[in-house]
Amino acid sequence: MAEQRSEPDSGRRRLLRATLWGGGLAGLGALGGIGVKRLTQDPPAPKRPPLGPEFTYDVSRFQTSDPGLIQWRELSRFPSGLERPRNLCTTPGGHILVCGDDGIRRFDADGRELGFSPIQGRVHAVAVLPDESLLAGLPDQVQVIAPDGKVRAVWELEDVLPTSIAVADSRIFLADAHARVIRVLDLEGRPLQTIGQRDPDKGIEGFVVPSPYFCVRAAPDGLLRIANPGKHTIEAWTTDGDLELAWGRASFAIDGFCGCCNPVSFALLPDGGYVTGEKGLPRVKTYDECGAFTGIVAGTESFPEYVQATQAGTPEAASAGIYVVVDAAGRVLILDAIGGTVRIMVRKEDGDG
Amino acid sequence: MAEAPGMNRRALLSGGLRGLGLLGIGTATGALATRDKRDDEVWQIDPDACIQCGLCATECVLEISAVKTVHSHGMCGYCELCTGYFEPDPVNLDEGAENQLCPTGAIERTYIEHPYYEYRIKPDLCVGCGKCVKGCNMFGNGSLYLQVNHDRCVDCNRCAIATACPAEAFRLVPRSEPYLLRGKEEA
Amino acid sequence: MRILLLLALLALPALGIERFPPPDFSGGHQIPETVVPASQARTQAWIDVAALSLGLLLASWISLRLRSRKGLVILSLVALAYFGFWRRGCVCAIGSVQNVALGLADPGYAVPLAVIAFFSLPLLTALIWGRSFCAGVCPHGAIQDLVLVRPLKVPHWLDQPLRLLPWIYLTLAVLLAATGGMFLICKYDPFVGIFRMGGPRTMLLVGGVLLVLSMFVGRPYCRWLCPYGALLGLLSRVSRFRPSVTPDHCSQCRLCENACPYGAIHLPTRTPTAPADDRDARLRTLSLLVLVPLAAVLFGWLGGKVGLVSVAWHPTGELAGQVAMADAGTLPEPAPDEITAWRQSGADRTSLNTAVAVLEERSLTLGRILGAIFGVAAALHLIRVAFPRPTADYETDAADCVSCARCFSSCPYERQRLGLPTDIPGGSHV
Repeated sequence: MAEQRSEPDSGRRRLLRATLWGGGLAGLGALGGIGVKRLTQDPPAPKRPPLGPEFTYDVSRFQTSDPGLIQWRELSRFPSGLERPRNLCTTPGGHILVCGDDGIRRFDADGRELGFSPIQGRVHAVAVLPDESLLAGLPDQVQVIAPDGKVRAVWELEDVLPTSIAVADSRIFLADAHARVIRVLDLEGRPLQTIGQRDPDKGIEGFVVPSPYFCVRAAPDGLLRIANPGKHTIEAWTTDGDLELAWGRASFAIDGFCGCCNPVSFALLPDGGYVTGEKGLPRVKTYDECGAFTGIVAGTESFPEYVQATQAGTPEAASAGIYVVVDAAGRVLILDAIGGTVRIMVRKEDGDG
Repeated sequence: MAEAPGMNRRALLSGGLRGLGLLGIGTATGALATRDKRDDEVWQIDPDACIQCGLCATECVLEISAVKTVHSHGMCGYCELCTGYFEPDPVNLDEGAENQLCPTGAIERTYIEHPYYEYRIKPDLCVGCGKCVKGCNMFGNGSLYLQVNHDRCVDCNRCAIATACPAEAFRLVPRSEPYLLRGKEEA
Repeated sequence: MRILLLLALLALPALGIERFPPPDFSGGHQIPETVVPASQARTQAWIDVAALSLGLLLASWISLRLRSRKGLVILSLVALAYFGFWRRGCVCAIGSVQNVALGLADPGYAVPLAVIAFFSLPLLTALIWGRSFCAGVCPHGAIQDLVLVRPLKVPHWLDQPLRLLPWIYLTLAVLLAATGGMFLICKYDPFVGIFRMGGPRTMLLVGGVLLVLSMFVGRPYCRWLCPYGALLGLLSRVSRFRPSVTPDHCSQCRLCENACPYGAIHLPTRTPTAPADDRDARLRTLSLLVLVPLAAVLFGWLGGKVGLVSVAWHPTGELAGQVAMADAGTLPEPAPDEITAWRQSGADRTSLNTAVAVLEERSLTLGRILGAIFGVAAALHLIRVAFPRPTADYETDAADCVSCARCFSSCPYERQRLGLPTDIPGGSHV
């Protein structure tokens, strides 16, 4: 080697040079070409975490329901037209009211929009008074809206979050998710009493409301039905504040209430049974008057936008409910807060509704 | 001696190039250093953008990720059946390992009063997989969420998790306020 | 319109998690504060910069003035312990190239001052004293240098073309960093896994293989991969001072011929008395005139192609590819998280397409520029290899020498200087 190098112009050295030149350049060209080729051919492979299944929160086995249990079908659906819908109710005249962050929208029984009452703030609950005025429940206040659309009164209520309002026997029952009690008011907004105040001496455990979902309904039997989501039960209370009965159990299985706090909404069927709405795993189901599971109105698979949002874990999903009411014709109306639509559901056998 | 002119030329060229190099480095350094001082910044996760994909547990340059779950207790429902603590459909509502959702047992559950329980994250055990965050977000209030723990973060030039993050949830935040905490206005 | 936008922004927090009180505990249980560990102090960065400056000065002094291999070994050990295992390989000068590239390309990105210092100080040192950074400060260099037990000689014809790889790596890294795609150097760093004693399996594997290789082949990462080393080599080519094998003069004793494990000692290409070869000089000039512009055009074109391809490595480009696949129905199930997050964010397709178009244009332009620069560098490198400057003595290569001080002790004049037993061949000292 050293000998060759001391002869600067040997033929071997020239050869070496040529090899170097050619080899280097050709190698580089080839490298570049192969790189370009490979990169253009390979489709971007989706990245998956190399974590074991024990590190993945998986509820997929609960996200499809047994088709044999689905006893209802969707008649139609219509958009709520609200940026963030929060609740709904029906009027004695057969209209549908949907409330949310912009105000209250009124639809006829087929979903045609009839009117809009803009309200500043988050309207968590809506109800109708016997005189056809509307009650709009907002954080720390209830607005009374006359049939002509004017705000007739504003009842200021400190530290109250009304998430559901029932009206019966000239009394207003306000589900207050903040204090976790039912506030009873007269038709002028004067407080009469509270129901369900936690009282260990009387053995009243009270309501467990971990998130702003707390639903109250007045039943034809004169009792109130109140959801106790933290206990996964629906309870019957007298209007004087005595607990009569409770039913429901926590389970991801179809006959139970899933997650930490469900049902978020329920309604009473004409036959005395219940329709329940659950968040997390969005699903709407029916129970008989004793609380035995009877069937599915809409399974988790019928809420794809909602499921996608919960899969992505967005904060919107963490505070979005599935709200249900039953109208005078016995149809079930479902408001999906993420999909933003109201669906009208009817029983499969009497499709003409 | 015959080489002297060549050598001089080379030395001159070398010196010129050296000056050019100095000038180049100086210009680049000066341009970058005199820029608006957003110098003191660290990586953090925007909890509202996070989708709990699990990459935080695996993409961090540290063996055990610097990302860990943080709990905003003020937003917690103190549920007996916490979906961030229990497997979906647990056998029993107790601390049995078969009921716990966390694969490393990094959540501590303590009884407060009927029917409320408090949940605390044990950072030493948390690997940042986000499983509990998903459970809490899906059913609960979202009081559990992932954050880069700055006692462990080594401040990489470019955060490896940020590069991999599919939701682009990683941001640079001031070092003086290195966390993006939820429900802070209440505390 | 602007007011509407403002209102929308104000309304944003309300869309997020809503304020909802935790339960009232009758037992008076206090709700704990959210616990987050405190941030590390910023002083660390300045300690790092001080350590770097001190290290550079010491390494230069030891290699050029003290000429002590032992001193450099001790300094390397300290640097490896501090910058490697204690600071876990971050901040590092090699990666800082990307921050600087991104900082120069994106005015909205502020490079941390410490990172600027880590980028510029070793380069400035290289202009004055050569690659002392490689010799005694860089933990990557140190870990390879210290494990080198049985250096095998890598033939010149293999070593020199391989030394173009760092330029390719540098070009790609700058391209990807400047377009905001990713930090390639950080992602594929072979040794941080070892410094951090953990990491992705591939990272550790590559690190392990390179480390084993370093036991028999001198500094494989520094010579054939390190993109920062390419810059240091370029600048040290014109450095004011650089190490020489002999402390005073070369007697062509050939004792240092095999002393350099990195192939950085030039053997004499002519005898001191022979005249310079005119033919070589002419060929050299000719190839400079022909090959350099040719390579610039060729690699500029290729760089543009690579730039376009690199868009797919960019998060935005990757997302666009996945969206296209989802449209075509060829996306494997389950859908990647990027798609889920993108759909969830409510961003529309037009803005994504615009972003990709902008990115493609930027990558094409930048790819062409960088490709042309690479072409010039590669051509110059090859010309220099093919027509080496005629030298009469055993000299260190200006670019390739990492100032490790290994060769000094092989020189009889050095041994004489140190008062060690020596045998000067021919006894012909002046």
